[in-house]
Amino acid sequence: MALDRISEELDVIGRVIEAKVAQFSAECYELHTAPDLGTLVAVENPRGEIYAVVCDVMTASVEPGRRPVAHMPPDADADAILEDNPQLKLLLKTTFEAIVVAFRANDGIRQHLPPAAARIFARVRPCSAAVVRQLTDEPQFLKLLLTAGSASDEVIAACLRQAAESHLDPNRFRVRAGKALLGLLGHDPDRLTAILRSIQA
Amino acid sequence: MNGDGVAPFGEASRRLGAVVAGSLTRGLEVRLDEDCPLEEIAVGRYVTIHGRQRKFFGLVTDVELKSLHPGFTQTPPASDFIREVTAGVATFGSVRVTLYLTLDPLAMGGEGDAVRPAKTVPPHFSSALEASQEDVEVIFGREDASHFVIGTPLDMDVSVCLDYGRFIERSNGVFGKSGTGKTFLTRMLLANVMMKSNANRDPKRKAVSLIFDMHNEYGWVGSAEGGAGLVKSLKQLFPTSVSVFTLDPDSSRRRNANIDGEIGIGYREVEPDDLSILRETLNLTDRSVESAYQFRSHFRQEQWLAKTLELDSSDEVTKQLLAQLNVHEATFSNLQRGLRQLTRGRDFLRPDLPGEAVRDILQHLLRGKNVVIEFGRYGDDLAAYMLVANLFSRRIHEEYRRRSEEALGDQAQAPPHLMIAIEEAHKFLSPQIADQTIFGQIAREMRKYNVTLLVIDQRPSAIDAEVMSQLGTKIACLLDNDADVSAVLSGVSGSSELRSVLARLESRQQALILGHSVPMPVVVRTPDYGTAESYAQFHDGPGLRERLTLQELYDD
Repeated sequence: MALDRISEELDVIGRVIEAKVAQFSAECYELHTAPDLGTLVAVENPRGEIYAVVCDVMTASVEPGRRPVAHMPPDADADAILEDNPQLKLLLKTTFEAIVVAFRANDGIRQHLPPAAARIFARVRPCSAAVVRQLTDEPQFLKLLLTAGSASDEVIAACLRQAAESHLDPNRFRVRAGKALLGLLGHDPDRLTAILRSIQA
Repeated sequence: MNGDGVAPFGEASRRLGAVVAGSLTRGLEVRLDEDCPLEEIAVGRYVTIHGRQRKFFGLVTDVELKSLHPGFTQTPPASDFIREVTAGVATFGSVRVTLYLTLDPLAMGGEGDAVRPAKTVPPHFSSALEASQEDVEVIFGREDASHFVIGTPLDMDVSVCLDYGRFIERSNGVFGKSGTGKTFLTRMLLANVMMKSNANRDPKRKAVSLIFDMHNEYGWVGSAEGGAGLVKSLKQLFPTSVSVFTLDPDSSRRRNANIDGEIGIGYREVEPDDLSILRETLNLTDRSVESAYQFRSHFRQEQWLAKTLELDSSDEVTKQLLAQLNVHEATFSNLQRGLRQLTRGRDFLRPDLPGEAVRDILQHLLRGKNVVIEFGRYGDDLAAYMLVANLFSRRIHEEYRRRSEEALGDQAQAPPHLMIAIEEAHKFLSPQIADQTIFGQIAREMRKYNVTLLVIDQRPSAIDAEVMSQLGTKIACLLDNDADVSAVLSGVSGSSELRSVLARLESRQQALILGHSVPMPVVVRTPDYGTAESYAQFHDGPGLRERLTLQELYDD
């Protein structure tokens, strides 16, 4: 499909469909192509890219209140059902939510909220490895994740697990990130330990 | 390192952490940096803290483990990863630093006012660093005409120096458990004092030592540490500056010791005052000691001892004499028994000696020679040691007193400063008798008459508190009795912190020095003694004086 190819070339995963300063929702071009939980994504913005962490993904009917009905036989494969019923891809959509954690200003990446919300229909891409490294090297943005009500500790852990892969020395990164978390969760050792357990290699 | 260091102090040294709390009296709390290896920070280490205007100098007196939240320690981390994350941030090391001095960079190179006692604290989060060699040198001085090296600080390769002038002007003490190297330390102190005295041309800065050498360690040879072999002692190192006298020539001959003379005590030299310190040893009653004064006034000083010994209590004449002197018979027999015990088996104590030993010793001292009195086989005889030390010291002190008073009119007549070294000092300076012995008097009147003590002892707690408080410099090797530790540290600021330092000294070659001749308490590792290199640092003769310039020679 032409649209798919274009989106692959541009590395675009979706467009913003709803935005606040601290959070936005985006719709994927294709069903089930949302980025993984915790992925750092970049949103096009004339005042400088906005960076966010994917905190939730949802696939549902395009019409609110009209839920899909699963009355196919038990032996039918989920992918096969979509292949056999191409109209379903138009009746369903995949969206994801992301928490804004940073933006690019004139003097580089700033790890706090941007002055304005992302624009509607702005394109969303996954962050490049270089940007991920830059952002997570000193992960001050963890504070925004921790205070955003909609992000669970799982999102933080997922984000750090993914980020570790783009660092040359993932173990060193995990320790550094752990210490950054410690600075924020020093008052709550149990919660901290739970997150640390899920990011350790 | 934080960039807030005070520049004029030279090279940067390793940062330990930041000051987070504390007070001048209780010491500062320094939270160690994450990367600071806790196990390398030992108690007794020097720390400099860079304040805004000046640098502070202190001593690590405690090391502590702390945690951000009790939860971190209640459930220890399950994995290495979590331990690594929490290390240094949630669970961290903290050291207590007792401040002693401030260094004012603006006054550096001036008239020595750069180093002052600390009277305030640096602000929050000031950087604490390991003291650099340069800092230690600024504080403890370099070896020169007025400073001698006593050792090196632990973990550092610089010298800690004692101020010679300050050391000789007050009484000093060397303390430590048996076998911790007191004798070695004392020998080194004496050797250094001799060398500095020889190098000084100013008669007022000359010092001689009179050493009552109980175990024959300071004269010709001494036993090596651990008891294996022999080491050179003072006479071998300073042949022209040291005279050795012995009470036991047989022992000196057996030991092949090179001695300058034999000394003894004539009966006529013993005074009733000498009995009072021997009261316990000889089991004398107060009354019998009192009666000795009566016998002396009756028979005169020259003869009282010999004649009192000759009296026979069954004799009528004696009975009449006792009645005349109003001395009870039991008192008399107690005294006579004591005197017999004193004179029995002590060959140096003889009826016929003319009593010139003191004069000989004094002449040597006044000529600037150091005198070692060896006790030979009497070393283990406490009564002999106490009698001789007390008797000689008293008479030499009298003479010094007379000469010092005469010298008030003419400074040039002043005798050289005298330092009397006594071992087992608590026997002379116990609270019961300290006010009766000459040593108590010397310790109290201090430098007035140019005589001071070098007290060597293993039980400082048994020494009169007043005497302890008068000691200028105290050098303490390992002590583990609480009372002894308290006695050494009494009156020292920050003593509770120093306790931990003192109790953790190693049992050899380590000593805590505090008091008048060092600007702050310091733990040193004393240099080796007994090797050829160690002997080479000592040299007899004028020493630094040889380096006089021509100009100085013509000035003479």
